[in-house]
Amino acid sequence: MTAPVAPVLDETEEARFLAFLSAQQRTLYKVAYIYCRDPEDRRDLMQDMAIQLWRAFDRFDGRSASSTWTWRVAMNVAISHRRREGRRLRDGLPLDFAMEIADGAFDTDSVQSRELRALIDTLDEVSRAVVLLHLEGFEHTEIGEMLGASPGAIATRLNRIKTRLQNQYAEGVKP
Amino acid sequence: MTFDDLTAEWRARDRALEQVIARQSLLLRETLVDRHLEKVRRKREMGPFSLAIYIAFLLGFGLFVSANWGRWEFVVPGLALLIWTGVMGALSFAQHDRLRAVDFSAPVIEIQMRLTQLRAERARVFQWAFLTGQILWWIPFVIVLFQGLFGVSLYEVSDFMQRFITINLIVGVALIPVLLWIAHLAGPLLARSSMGRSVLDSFTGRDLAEARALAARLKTFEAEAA
Repeated sequence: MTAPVAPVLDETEEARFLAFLSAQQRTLYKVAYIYCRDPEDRRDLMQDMAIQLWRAFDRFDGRSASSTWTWRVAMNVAISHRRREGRRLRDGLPLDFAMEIADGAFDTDSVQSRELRALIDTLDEVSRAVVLLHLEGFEHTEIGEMLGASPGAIATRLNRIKTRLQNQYAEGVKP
Repeated sequence: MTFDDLTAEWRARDRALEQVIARQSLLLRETLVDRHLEKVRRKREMGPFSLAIYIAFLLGFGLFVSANWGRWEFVVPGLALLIWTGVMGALSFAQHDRLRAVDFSAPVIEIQMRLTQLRAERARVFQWAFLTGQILWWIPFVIVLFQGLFGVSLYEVSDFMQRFITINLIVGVALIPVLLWIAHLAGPLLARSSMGRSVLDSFTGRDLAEARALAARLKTFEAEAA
């Protein structure tokens, strides 16, 4: 009987992943921003997203664009994110992302920021994804493909959200 | 305020973030050394120590049952513990493997439905593991422990012991609805800590309710467009 052989670390794959992760940090941060109000939660969520990206990285076959792939993985992790899960793996991944610096650049205090936050807080998980992808400039068809819904469903949901935003602003709702 | 205003604001912030990230990436490349990425990917439900304990319990109960075969007052509790441990472990491994097999890069609604289903199953298993475990890991376990390790039959320790065992088993079964009721009452108090909240949510079935609510929201998504 032969002794089990430990898997050989594929340094090329690791190096490719690290370069990939480095390029995708902005996407991860924006998803975390939409799904977590608290900076600490955002940090946890980014770690969880990085863990899942790494676990799935060997399945990435390049059939979809790497950015589309990242958006999907990140949003799926964000929606199912539970603070208690993944904690034991925290710091296991190389996401040396300075949240304070990113928050300083992104989480600004303006009327629009407050309106956006107030709107996001009222939305369910899938609607947040719709808003995020719309803000990112994706078309209804692309959003539909990422979420697994028809363009019609996306358009309907977006119209409702836009109406809600207008009502919210008219009523002077503040976070 | 319109969505276009928010989009313009979002893009301005995105540009600022891009500049920050560009500087960050240089820092990142310099610090990416020895991060045990492969270890993270291979992480399993149980570590070697937990797995060894789990196997030891299975073996222990199995040996106990075979050694006492024919003496049903010992076989029944031993077998119950063996089955409980085996089933709970197998369910836990199976659920973990199914979770790991989920392809997170698939469309969001499809994956969320799958994850919601897995989460509901996990919550249900945890709830029943706790409710049945509090019966099995008290009197039946003590009977097996004393007979297995010390050769002492608790049934024969005193005349009162058989009544004590019966009462405890009845109380254990009666405790199931009581525990559920207490957990609902004490919920806000326990929920102050994340650990307490986590256990409580699974125990009371709140995880299950959340999972069902998410599944319902996902199902309405397409229906809205119709």
